[in-house]
Amino acid sequence: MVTLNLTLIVQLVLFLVFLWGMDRLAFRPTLEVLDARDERIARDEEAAAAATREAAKLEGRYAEELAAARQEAAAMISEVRREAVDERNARLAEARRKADEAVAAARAAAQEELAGERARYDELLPGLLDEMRRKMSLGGSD
Amino acid sequence: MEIDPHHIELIGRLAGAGFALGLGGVGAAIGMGMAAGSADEGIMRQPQAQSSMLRTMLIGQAVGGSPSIFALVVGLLILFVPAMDLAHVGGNFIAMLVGAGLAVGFGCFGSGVGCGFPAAAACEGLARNPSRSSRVTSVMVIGQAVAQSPAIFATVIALILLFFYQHPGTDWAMMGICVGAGIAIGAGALGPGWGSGMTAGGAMSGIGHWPRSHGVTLRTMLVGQGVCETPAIFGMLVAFIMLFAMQNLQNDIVGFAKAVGAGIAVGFGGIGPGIGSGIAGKSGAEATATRPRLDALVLRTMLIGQAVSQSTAIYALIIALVLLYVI
Amino acid sequence: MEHIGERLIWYYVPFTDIAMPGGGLNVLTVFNTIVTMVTLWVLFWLGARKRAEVPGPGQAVVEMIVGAFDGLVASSLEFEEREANRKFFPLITALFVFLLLSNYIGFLPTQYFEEPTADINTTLSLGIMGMAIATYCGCRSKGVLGYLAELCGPMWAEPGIAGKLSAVFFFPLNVIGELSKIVSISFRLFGNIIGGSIIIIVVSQLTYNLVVPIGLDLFFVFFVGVIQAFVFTMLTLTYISVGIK
Repeated sequence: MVTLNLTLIVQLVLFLVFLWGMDRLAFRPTLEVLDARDERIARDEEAAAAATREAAKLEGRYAEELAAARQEAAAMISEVRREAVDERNARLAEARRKADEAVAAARAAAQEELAGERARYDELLPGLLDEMRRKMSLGGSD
Repeated sequence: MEIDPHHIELIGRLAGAGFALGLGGVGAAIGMGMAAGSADEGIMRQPQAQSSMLRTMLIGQAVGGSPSIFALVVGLLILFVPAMDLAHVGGNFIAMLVGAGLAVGFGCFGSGVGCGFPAAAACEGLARNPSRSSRVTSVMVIGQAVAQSPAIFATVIALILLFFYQHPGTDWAMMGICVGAGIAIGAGALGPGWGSGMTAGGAMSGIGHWPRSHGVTLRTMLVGQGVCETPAIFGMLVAFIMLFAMQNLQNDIVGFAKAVGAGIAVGFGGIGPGIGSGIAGKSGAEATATRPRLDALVLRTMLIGQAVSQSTAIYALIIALVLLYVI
Repeated sequence: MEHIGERLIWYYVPFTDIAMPGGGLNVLTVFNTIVTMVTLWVLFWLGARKRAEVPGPGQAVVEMIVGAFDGLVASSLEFEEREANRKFFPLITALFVFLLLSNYIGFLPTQYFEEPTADINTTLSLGIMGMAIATYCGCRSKGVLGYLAELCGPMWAEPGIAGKLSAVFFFPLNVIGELSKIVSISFRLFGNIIGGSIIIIVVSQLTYNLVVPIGLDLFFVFFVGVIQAFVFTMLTLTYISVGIK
């Protein structure tokens, strides 16, 4: 059952022949096919990755432009708003100034009138005293 | 005093069958018990997975029971194999039957225990991860089947003894060869069967934790188990040498002692290395399951460790060959 | 059942009386090996012939085997460049498919088909070849002196006379350890295959050939056959990678 003989060497030689034949007939062609397929897949993946990168770049540029436009619009909006605010402030200041002027004029007129009235009072005062005295001497009968 | 040949025949048959089943049934029983125990624990943890757990346990026990079935078949053959030359039946016949019984008895002991490890680990793994039942079961069956190779070697030697070594009369050399070959392969298969079962168990518990890495784990497990079986192969080698290349062994008690001594050396010398390299294989398989990226490194380290742990089996083989050829 | 494990041996070259050198030739082993070889050549050639971009079923099977072993060899040897792994890939793949079909050929229910792997000559020659390649690779990667120093044990590199003396102990043990790898790898395959066939023959005889042990056939031929072919191949590959590293 366990006798060693020439078969040992024959089997070794046969296996080496088998190995050589398998390598030529099957392994090399199949590995070539597999490698070609891997390479193609890798190439396709590379192409897909490149397209993705390109798309990302475009997207980046688009986003940049979008951001610039948005910034510009924002700048315009804020400019307009500032102008509007300035105008409103100007108008407000004008109105306030006019109102102040009117108030000051009215006050001056009132002061003047008051001074006039006061002067007239000084003139009237002696006559009024006389009148008072006369009436008191009459004894308050009328 | 002349002994009745029927009595001699009966002595041989009873002794041989006793060894075969007395030893051969123990291992499988222990292994099945381990599987059942861990299935119980698993059901306690995951009661809703009880049907798949029960199925895995039963499959594991059925496959793990085959070493004891080998022992049963050989035991029945020992009891009922026809004696060719009943008139001259003698010590050779007894030794042949005892040798076959020792071979299959010790040989099926180790594999029986060994088959229990993967079954137990599979049930534990299912408790952790009940959805992976079919994958776990298939790896378990592969591991158990490989762990049974030592038992198969032992069964083959026992069958060769039973069918080719029926010699009439009583010769010291023939008796020594029969008993020695039986002990060589029987005890030699004990450790490897046990150890390669431990390797399968480690792989199963790894797959239970990390089911995704089952491919590399299976590979490490198969290599580890294959290397574990080296001591059994040494035992088989010595048994083959004794059975087929020892025609000119001296026919006296010295020749008997040489053959039995060589059998004991290589047989019992293989128990430790078998179990030891099984422990190395267990950790290797678990490590591979945990870190599947490092599988080549783990495999190499495990292989070197196993090879070193088997050096005592090689010493035993050398002693056996020296006993047979030099002294 | 008397001829279990016996092989038909040609002691003389046919039609002459020249003695066969080396003690005879196991003619059925060689015959079955050639049958296996030619079958595999034809099958693989049929599969690899078309080189289609989108494979048919035959090509898909061949590509699956080749691709799987390509990855296996690459992950075990861990060379940086692909071509270095590819140097060992044909050996490993051819070894596996050859052993697989060799283990399966005994299933053919005809008299002259028996497994070449149930002959120790086949398994031992493949084991010797594998270990020779592993040793050669070890010598290539570490140098002959480095390889020998590794055989001299772990203490060889340490300074002092004790390290050198330890080599007297380690060197023979390591050499025997290397040789025992050949024995274990070849007897493992041989024992499993011939064990299966012996068990099947014995069970068939016990049942007077009334029951064909299909279950045993399936287990021992197909299951054990593929597992042992894989174990042999993986061990060869691992020994080579241990030799390289």
